[in-house]
Amino acid sequence: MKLDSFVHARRGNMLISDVIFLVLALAFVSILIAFIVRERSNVATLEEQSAKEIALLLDAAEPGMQVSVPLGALLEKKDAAFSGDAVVVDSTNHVVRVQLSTASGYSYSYFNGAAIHGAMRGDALEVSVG
Amino acid sequence: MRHLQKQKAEKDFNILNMRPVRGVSGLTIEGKRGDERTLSLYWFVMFVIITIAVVSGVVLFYGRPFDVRAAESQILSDKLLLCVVHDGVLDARVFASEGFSLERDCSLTFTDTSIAAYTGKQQFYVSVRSGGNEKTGGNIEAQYQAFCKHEGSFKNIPVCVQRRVMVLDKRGEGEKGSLVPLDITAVVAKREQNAHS
Repeated sequence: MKLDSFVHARRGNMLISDVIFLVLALAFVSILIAFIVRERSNVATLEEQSAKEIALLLDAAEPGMQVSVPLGALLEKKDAAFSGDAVVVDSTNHVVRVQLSTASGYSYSYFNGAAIHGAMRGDALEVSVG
Repeated sequence: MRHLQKQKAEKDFNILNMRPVRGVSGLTIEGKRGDERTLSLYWFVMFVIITIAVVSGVVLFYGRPFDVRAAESQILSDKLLLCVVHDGVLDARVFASEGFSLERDCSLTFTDTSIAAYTGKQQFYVSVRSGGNEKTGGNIEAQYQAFCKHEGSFKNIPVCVQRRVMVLDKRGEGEKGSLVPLDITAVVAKREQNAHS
């Protein structure tokens, strides 16, 4: 009887400790994965990436071109409280600015001196190069 | 009751002395509780090390800015080539006229107002050279061209693209042109926005 109670006590301890370990390990992995996903879809990263891609596109554009850039995926990350345009092409200063919230934003310049006009039309950026 | 107390005292003595005693599954060592605590500490330390490694890796990777200067300098080089060479013939105005400006006549703009650090300091350098003649543009004082062909030697330096193409150099209408090499250099600095300092 002593032996049985000892065995049952050992079994109960092992099961509880294993379960606790598994729960902690799963929680740890979940937190790591959540952190990685959060960093990947960081607003600042998206703004920088988009601004540079659009600037390169404008650099390579030739007079007479008309380009439509779909930005649906980018606009999904836009803060609802921010009412301004997500993408602004400043043809005077030759700067592309991508802004998804009031507290963030990224600007990148382009060297194409042609007359470039860009404006948001729905989910796309419409660019015409004069 | 005394028998139980005696057994407990013996058990405690054995734990302290780690004597082998007969247990459930044959010969075991009392005090196995101490090993489990050590194992838990090991697992905790391992978790901490893994967490630090993963977080550091992710932060380093996503914290680094995207470097697009290689593509940017390549596009700039292409623009220059299209500007000074037409149908394989070097534009005579490039070196003949003192008033020819790479920035103005090739529809380029080297002024950068994207961040405060670039105000008043152009981030580009371009050069077109053929037969002893050279035309430059952008920030000449900064000597960005000195960083060309040193990509492996230094970190966080301006990105340089140099090309050599063979073009026809005609002097006047109807004259048979000669094939001459044309060297184009395009350098993009913009270190603050592209390089990991």
